[in-house]
Amino acid sequence: MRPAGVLRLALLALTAAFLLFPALFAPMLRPLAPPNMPVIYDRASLSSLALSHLALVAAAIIPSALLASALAILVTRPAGAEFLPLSRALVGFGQTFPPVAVLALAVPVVGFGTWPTLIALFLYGLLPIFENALAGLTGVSGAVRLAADGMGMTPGQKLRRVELPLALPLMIEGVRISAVIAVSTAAIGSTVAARSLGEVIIAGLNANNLSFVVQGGLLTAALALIVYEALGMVAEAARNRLGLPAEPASRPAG
Amino acid sequence: MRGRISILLVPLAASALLPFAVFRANRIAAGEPRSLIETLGTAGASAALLALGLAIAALMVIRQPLWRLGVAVPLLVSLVLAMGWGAARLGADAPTAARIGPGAGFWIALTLAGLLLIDALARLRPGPAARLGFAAGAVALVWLLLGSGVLAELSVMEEYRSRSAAFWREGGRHLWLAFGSFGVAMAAGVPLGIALARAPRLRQPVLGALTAVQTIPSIALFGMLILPLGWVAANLPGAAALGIRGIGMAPAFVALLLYSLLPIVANTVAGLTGVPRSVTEAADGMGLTRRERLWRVDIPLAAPVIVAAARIVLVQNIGMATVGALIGAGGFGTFVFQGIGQTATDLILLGALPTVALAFVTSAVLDAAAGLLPGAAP
Amino acid sequence: MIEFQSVSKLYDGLAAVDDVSLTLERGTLTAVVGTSGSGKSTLLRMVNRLVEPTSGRVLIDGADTASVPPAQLRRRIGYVIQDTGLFPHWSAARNIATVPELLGWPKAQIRARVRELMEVLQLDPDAIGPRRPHELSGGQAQRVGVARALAARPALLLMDEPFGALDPVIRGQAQADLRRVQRQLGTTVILVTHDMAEAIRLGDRIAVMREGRIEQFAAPAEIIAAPATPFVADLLGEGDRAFRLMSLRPAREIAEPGAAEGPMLPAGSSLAEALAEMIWTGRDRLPIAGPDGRAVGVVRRDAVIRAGRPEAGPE
Repeated sequence: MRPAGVLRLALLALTAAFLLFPALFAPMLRPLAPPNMPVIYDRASLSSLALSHLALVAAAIIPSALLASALAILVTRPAGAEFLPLSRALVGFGQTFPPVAVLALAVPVVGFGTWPTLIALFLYGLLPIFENALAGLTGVSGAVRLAADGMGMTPGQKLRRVELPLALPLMIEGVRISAVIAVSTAAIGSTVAARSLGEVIIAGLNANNLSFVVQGGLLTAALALIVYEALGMVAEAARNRLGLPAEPASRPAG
Repeated sequence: MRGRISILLVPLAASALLPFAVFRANRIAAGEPRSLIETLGTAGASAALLALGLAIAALMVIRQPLWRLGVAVPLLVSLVLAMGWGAARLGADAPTAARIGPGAGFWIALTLAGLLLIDALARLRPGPAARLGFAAGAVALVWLLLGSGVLAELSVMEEYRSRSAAFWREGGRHLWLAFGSFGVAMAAGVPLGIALARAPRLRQPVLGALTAVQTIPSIALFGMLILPLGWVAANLPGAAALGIRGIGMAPAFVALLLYSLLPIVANTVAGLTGVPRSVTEAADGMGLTRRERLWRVDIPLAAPVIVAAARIVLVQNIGMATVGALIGAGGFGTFVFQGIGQTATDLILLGALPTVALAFVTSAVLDAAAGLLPGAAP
Repeated sequence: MIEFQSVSKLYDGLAAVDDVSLTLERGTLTAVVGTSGSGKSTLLRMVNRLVEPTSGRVLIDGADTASVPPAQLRRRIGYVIQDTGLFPHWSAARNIATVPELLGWPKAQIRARVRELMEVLQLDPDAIGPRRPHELSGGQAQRVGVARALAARPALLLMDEPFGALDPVIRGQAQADLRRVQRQLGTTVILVTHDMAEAIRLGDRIAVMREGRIEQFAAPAEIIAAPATPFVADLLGEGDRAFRLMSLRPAREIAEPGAAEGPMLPAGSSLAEALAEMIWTGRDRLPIAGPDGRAVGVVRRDAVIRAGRPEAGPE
């Protein structure tokens, strides 16, 4: 197995062990907790917090991916072409909007709890997925489109057989970016009472309990890395299945 | 096919039926809706409706992006002015504790006018110099509106007045966090990128590690950095005197610095390795030394890609610096999280609006700057 | 039979194709030659309705193409483009199977057809079939593109600069393959090219286009012998018209009875090849072989040169 594979497995195993048997790690964290304070977060089980963190992300990103892909398909059809410049510009503008601001502004509208977080994750998740789906769909070469038309594919056949498969790896990449941002924003969502691992960090900050801060931080980071790696593997599998060349090692952002 | 964009005019028109303003008995009380007529009076509302109607009619007919821009900008400005006047009118016969803020109708109209503006701009496809001019114009306009006092009765401005000293102090800290960490990241990241461009074997591990760092959620990294920085403050002589502490600015600064590295390093590498081989061979063939080639050829050609990274990093830093407030780093996030704690919408806005504006302006300026560089793609 | 009836295409009021009327016979290869922007690709794309004419009609075997839904029409017409346009996520074999799949052929029939075509185009079905387009050489990709266009046995094949991206050696081979396959299958071909030499080599008839209009429509020999306009003459190049004409006529046509010394001229040689051989080996008379490889007569130098004059050409 390659070193990256070993690292991934080790990360997964350690995270699972911490979530299921946190007491095993208590001796290591003991020095960080103030005297007479719990070492391991005790107001909820870490595993249930991790699960609800993931559930939040999934519940926001799945509809986000569906809507963003549908919108990207729409604006790349002749019927929606008039909205293409606007939507491109909006994606550019929208991404300068900090996720925290989206979260904070959702609170006055829908109140505390899960909803503002879900809304913020959903809205912010749209942008990277839409942007990547758009890049994927418009990136299909002119010759390939011309050939598809010339072979007598109907617009629907061209979309399903040619454009969507070719755009898929980039679309998954967009979902990956959105999901990682969502894991991060969901953690901050604990400031508005969403159930996530961020709760542990915030409890630690409020109570000056570094042990909480560190265990919450490590678990949240591990969760983000696991999501990132898992979706990276999905993207790679999609590329392999489609027989497309692997992604270049470094490409410029922006 | 043309004219489908006019569909945006439907909700714009409908927004006139929604509450234009929200009235609160005090700053955290529940809001009561106020319609356009209640806010502006019969005469004012009629004038506003007439203006809105004219703008909608004009936008239905006019196709030229420049003229559409000429309708959208005044529409946007008059919306804001109407809000300011409405707030003054409603506030005139209300107790001093009462707050008047924008209602759903205002927000929807503002959003749609903004969309029409963005659409016109996107179709106009202005060059970098024009974009820079437009950004400067927008900043000047906002400055003028805020300075003129027309908006003084709005609840956000009331929040501002009651803590203007804190606003500018936190603003300064926000800028220092975002731009300071960016400066250090540039100073470290560009040389690292140059080194990696020359050492392909180190590229993958270093970029991989930086990617992993970027994946870590902000709140987690902020929190985890408390530990090592606390240790440094306690054990390194002079560190505490420099203001390094476990909580506060130091961990936030370091976290933003770490997040900044990936885009800067990756884009420097991509920019340098993207210089066409024919160009580097020509430079070598003319007898440029490695150092001369780096400064005269490679870096100028890579500059647009590096500036693109600077834009990404600054926008990201400005947004993430907000989270620093959770570990006592200050910045506009202070108001956001205080506002969330008190369920005071206006306080949230006081933190969120300048953050968003700062990010917009920075992004627009750097985007235009990248286009003005000599190595930029036409 | 393909008929263009007063076909025009306007873009923003400017004519890309301006009132073109042409009739192309079934089973022939027509080369449409012109500089870039002459409207030749637009003319081609109006046949399979990738471009809709602003006015005029295109008829295939008497039926107006406008009366057939585009997708259905295109599935009956082969189409080859310069950058091959192979679908990068499909294997070479699946690419070739595109149109039969769209037409809903049974799987076994599609598989057999793909194998057959790959063999006709000298592509090893087992080695090349499973490869993705990015794993093919330029020449292989081009042949897969041709095979894909021929898969559903179209009676009509449209080719838009099909050999433009190939290097000269492979291009010569591909042109020869096209001629062979076209004769073998009896397909009607319209080939768009900017290369007059290619048009002369491949075309039964040549249509020369300029600024959306047809300057001349004639057989290659006639175009060389009597260019209708200065533009056509320019496109031909002044210097080597005689050689071009001589390269079109088989040397066998001017063979006389008799015998001569030295190596024999192969059966299919042109006049140009005969002359080159004479210059190279310093002979005035060459023996020439018949289809069976045995000498059938001699070719004399003055006869070759006489035959290279335009008035001595066929027609």
